[in-house]
Amino acid sequence: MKNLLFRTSAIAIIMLGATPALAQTGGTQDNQEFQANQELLSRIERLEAELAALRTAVQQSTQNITTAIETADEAQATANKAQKAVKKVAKVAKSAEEWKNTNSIIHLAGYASAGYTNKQNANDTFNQVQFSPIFHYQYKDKVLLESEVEFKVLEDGSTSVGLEYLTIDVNLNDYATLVMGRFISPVGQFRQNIHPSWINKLPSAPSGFGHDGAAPSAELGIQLRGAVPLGAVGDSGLRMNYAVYVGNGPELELEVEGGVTEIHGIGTAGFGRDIDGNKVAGGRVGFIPIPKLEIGLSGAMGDTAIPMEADRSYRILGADFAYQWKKFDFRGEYVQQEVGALSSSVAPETWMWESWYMQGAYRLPRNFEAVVRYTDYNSPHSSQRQEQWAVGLNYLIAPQVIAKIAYEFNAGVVGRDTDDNRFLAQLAYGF
Amino acid sequence: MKNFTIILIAVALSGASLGLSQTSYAAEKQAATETKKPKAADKAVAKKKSKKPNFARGAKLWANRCTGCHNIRAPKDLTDSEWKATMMHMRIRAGLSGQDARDILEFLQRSN
Ligand code: HEC
Repeated sequence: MKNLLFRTSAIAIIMLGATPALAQTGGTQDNQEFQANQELLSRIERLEAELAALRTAVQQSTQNITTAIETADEAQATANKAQKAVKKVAKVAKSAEEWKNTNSIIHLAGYASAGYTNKQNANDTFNQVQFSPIFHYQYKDKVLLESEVEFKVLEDGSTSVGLEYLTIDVNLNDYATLVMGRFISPVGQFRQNIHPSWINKLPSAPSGFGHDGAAPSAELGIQLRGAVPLGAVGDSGLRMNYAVYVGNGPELELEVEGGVTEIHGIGTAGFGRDIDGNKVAGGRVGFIPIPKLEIGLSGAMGDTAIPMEADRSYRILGADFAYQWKKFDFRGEYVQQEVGALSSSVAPETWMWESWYMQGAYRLPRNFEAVVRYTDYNSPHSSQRQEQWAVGLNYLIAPQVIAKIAYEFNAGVVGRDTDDNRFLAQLAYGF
Repeated sequence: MKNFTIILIAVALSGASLGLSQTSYAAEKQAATETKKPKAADKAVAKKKSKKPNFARGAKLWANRCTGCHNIRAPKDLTDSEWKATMMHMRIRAGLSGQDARDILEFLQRSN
């Protein structure tokens, strides 16, 4: 027993003693394992973290890719839109370019007026209703067809229609244009350039410068007009212009007054026949010595006749000027038409009509304008003679839209309507 | 009665005129400055004898030549195409040389 106990104790002691040693050796091994495990663990942890990071990265990039795709899609859509817009712009640009650069152009211009007249010894009336469209058909810089049609409301309520002018103009070069058709007489300034209601600063034409007065109205024939080549191209000095024409010429109108046959007037509407068979030739030369001053000289010669009678001589003389200085606008004009004597005629004498006017206008503040005009019209018929002072006040709604009021102090043969003063109002529109 | 009508029309016209907003006369002011450009500028412009349309010459000619018969018309009044037809019309009407007309057209088309 004692032995057993001893053995057991010995074994126990040995074992116990050995244990620390064992533990010593076994402990190193365990430690290493543990550490390896630990390392593994932390590696796994790191890997896991890396994986997570990777996953988020992947997720992010997937998202990025989706966004990128979306953005690309959007960009594509924008590009498509832009392309469409560019196409549209190109189309618009092309049509704009076409408008600007077509060979042919159609253009509508013209003027219109409406007014009121209050004349001494007559009923006051609304009148002066006129519509004058001007048609332009242009081919390149070569040809222009220009035509003004005149519609006028007459006293009896009917409407008169007239072809004021129709010409086909061909530019021969920089200095000459050939004009053919019915044209406004190039003699002087008023008929050709001032008669449109938006241009004329008074509601009426100066006496003798209306139809069938002292100034010729129109011609049917051929005209050459343009600029006189002077100095260097583009120089800003002296300018000159000219207009020369050949036409059918006028016809004389007869009137029997008090048993006496007289030539009542010279018809210059631009006849489509030539009863005397001889043409009338004439024209005008304009000088512009300094800017804003133009001086013109006009003349014409030829034959005319009373229907069914022999020819007799016919002559026009004219001079005009226009000058703008600061807020002033001055213009004046003289014209005479003379029919030569013819012994075989029912009205054998020489007949002469002449008229002249001077006009001054001043631009007041606030787009008002004051105008004064003096006219002296001389005719072989006392009933036609008239001396006139006209004063007017205009309001320029726009440079081409004008409201005018005017008063005419008229002196003619007492008892005739040429002696009656008039108040006039007019609204004129040029377009 | 007659006098009454005259007064009525006069009042109506002047009333309407005053009631209207003031048209700014840009074109006239512009024309005034164009004409007032010093002589030296004039000579410089004149020296450019090129036959090509010239804007500066056109501006000056517009200010000087387009007041001769009627109130000056602003470049903004018309489109390029309308100016083309109008300048052809005015060239023939006013006896402008082809070069003067081209210069003025250049100015009008670039200023509208
Ligand atoms: C010699 C006189 C004269 C001069 C100078 C003149 N015009 Fe005119 N203009 C007219 C007349 C007259 C009309 C009216 C048309 C008609 O009656 O045939 C007109 C009409 C116009 C119109 C209306 C549209 C049209 O074609 O009828 C415009 C715009 C115009 N002119 C611009 C100008 C410009 C720009 C200039 C300068 C280059 C100019 N005018 C110089 C006489 C002139």
